[in-house]
Amino acid sequence: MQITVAQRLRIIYSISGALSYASVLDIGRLWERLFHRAHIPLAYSQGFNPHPRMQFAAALAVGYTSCYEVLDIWVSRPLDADAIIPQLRAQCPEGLSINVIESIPLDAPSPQATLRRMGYRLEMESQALDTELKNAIANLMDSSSVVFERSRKGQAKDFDMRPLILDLRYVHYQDNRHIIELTLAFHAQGSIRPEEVIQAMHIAFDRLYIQRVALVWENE
Amino acid sequence: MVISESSLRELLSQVQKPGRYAGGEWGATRKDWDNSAIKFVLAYPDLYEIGMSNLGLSILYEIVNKQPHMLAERAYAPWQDMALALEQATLPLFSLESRHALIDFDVIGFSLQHELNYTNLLSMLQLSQIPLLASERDARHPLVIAGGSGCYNPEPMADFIDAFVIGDGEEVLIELLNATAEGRRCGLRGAQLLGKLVGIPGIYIPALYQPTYFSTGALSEFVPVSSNAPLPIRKRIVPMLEAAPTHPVVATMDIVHDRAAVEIMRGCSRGCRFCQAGIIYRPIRERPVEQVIKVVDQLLENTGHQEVALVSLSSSDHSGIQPIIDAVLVRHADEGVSLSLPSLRIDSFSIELAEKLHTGRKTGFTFAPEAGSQRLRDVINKGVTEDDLLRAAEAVFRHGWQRVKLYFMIGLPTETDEDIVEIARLAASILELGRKIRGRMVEVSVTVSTFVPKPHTPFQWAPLLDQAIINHRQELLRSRMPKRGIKLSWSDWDATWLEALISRGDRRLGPVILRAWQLGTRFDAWQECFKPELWRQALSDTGINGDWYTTRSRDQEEILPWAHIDAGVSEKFLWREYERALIGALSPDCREECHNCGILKNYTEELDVARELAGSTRPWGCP
Repeated sequence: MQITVAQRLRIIYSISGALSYASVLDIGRLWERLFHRAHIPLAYSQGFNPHPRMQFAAALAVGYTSCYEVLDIWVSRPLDADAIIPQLRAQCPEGLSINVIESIPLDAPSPQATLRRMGYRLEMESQALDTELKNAIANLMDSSSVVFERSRKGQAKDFDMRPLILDLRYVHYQDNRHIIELTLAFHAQGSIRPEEVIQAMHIAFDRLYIQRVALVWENE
Repeated sequence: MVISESSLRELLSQVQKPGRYAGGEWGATRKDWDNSAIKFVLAYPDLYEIGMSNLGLSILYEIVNKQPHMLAERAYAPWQDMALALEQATLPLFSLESRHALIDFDVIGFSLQHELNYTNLLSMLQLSQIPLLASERDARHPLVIAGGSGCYNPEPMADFIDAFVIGDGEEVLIELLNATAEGRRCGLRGAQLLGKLVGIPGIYIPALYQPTYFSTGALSEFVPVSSNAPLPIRKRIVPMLEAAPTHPVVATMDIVHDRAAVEIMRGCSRGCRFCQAGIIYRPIRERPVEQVIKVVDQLLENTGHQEVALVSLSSSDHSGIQPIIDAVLVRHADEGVSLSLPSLRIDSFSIELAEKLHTGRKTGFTFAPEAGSQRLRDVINKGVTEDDLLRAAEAVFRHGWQRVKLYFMIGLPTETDEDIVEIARLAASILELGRKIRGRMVEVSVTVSTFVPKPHTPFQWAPLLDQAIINHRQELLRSRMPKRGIKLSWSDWDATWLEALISRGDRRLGPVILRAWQLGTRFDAWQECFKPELWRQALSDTGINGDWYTTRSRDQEEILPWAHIDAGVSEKFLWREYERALIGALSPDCREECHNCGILKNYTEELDVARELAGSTRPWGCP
């Protein structure tokens, strides 16, 4: 695969509203069309089916919002990272906003390879008292293992989520919602979803809003 | 009522593909609700992925939203999970743009394209908490209208629709919405507005007509019950193609046709006798070359798509197709843009075009010979010889394609077992040809659908063949097909039967459709949802004999259920073509020779306008 590459750009962006219902594949296509509309010279792979070189850090689950998503793109001619921001913003659909664009070394590791932690903010509508939640969180954090059953391809398998929960804390109660912060480890081998952590707390709730707020890399 | 953010979240957490209902796509138009005199919603009775691929809807969406005092939004049929979620939450079906309940709009415009979607229309009304029957709606409800090719036989849906729009929608829809706005100013709403629509050419209000029947079941009379209701109702045509949409909505989720599209021509001059589109989209109107090129530029700029389809019934028949392709490729090839030409003809010119367009990997190439024998191809006026086909296939294989798809129909008028055997022989010789040129890797797939005689075609008097004959011919075809190298597939009998029942039905089918829907039919076009036994039960519950509609041939004297709808061509012309079909007489391309179909006689005013606009005495494909 030969690609003419002049520069690599890292785009930090947010997802909200209607776009939170898009899959990671949808978001990929959306960005590709957005770059075309904004006349960004994407670097294409050669071959029968040329495709632009783009890499996401971590797929965002359908239904989540995020204020910290990462996309790396490779372009075929050098661009001023700051100067293209307005150009791109003019092409953003509802629910997509660009926070920062930076030029990074061509040989920087892929955003996925060195990703270590993901931070979430959970807003829960529930009849439960804050003390109940605080106790449940303390119980969970004090346990050395939290095993839950997960079915993969029809087979039930036990999985210990505790090592993946790096931090879980109750923040406060605001606008009828309990605010909880959660930090999960990112491993290629196994991962858990914030909902699964909440399930393990055994707290009944009416609604749960999940927002990704941070991606943390090695050496950060 | 507006669906709140939190209700939406709740609903969408229960469905498999929430993107279908989320809205917010690039290019979606959000107009001010309160400052729009007329609120119109385009409703498509199939899934988002299908409806979003429909070019007609994007034309109307843009035209209505361009009117300063009007607003157009969109709604699609919810899949069963979403329908259930709405019902359980007792929330109404809502539009994608402002998330208003459909009942809040002034006019709901359904697109009727495919008979197997009709029950979804009932579901959409019911989920909107709008009475299904037009006779049970009043000023509390929106006006429910329908347009699209299905309206050329509107009768089976006459009970559910307040007004049908017949023909090209661009002008008449705006006239209808303006008349509605006038009525709204006087405080009228829903069914009260119908009076304002009487007299707009191309509008058919079924409640203003009364059919009566002979004891044999055939129509004896179809008369207006109001003195100012027109008869027949002639389709509307636009003199020239209007400005093409250049700001279409770009779907975020993957849809069936995920590309930009421009209609380069409306109508087709070939005169295939089974083809309804060839009649109802007459006359031929080409979009001028410079206009197409400009629209393509704008579409690419506004959507970011990398593929543009040049759409028409027969794209290689556009007189300027070569300069269009050359210009688009020169302007955009280095941006990686690709062009596609759906529905190419079987000739070397078309293959040269296809070769020019192809930069990437060569996958399948599709031909539609429609019939296996020359005799039968002459009956249907396909105008393609076996030599044409073999030469075209040879060119395709030589240019590097490995897979060829062939489309045929069985059950055509005058067909015999020999014609079926010819399909197998033809497919085998194409396979052999391909193997000689490209070797063992060659694949030929043969799709055989069962012919349904459609209203407003020369074959409208012909019957759908009996199931036993169709089964026999499918079996015969299977036994004669080479076992290796050819993939054979055919259509399901029950789906064909239902399509024939509804497309050839009259007003008495309304209760059948209602009953079938009550019994639980939904998404009949989707194999996993289709329940033909419920349709059979609906027929028996309502005392209707389905065979009488489907497998009965009709004579020239019979008043056909769709006879009051005038597609602009005369019944005399259609009958003449039917008679010519039966003796295998070809009728040449109508750009070469006029067959007096009636278009020129019926649309003199439009022709004058077109002449002026085009600065030409022959603005249409007519000679």
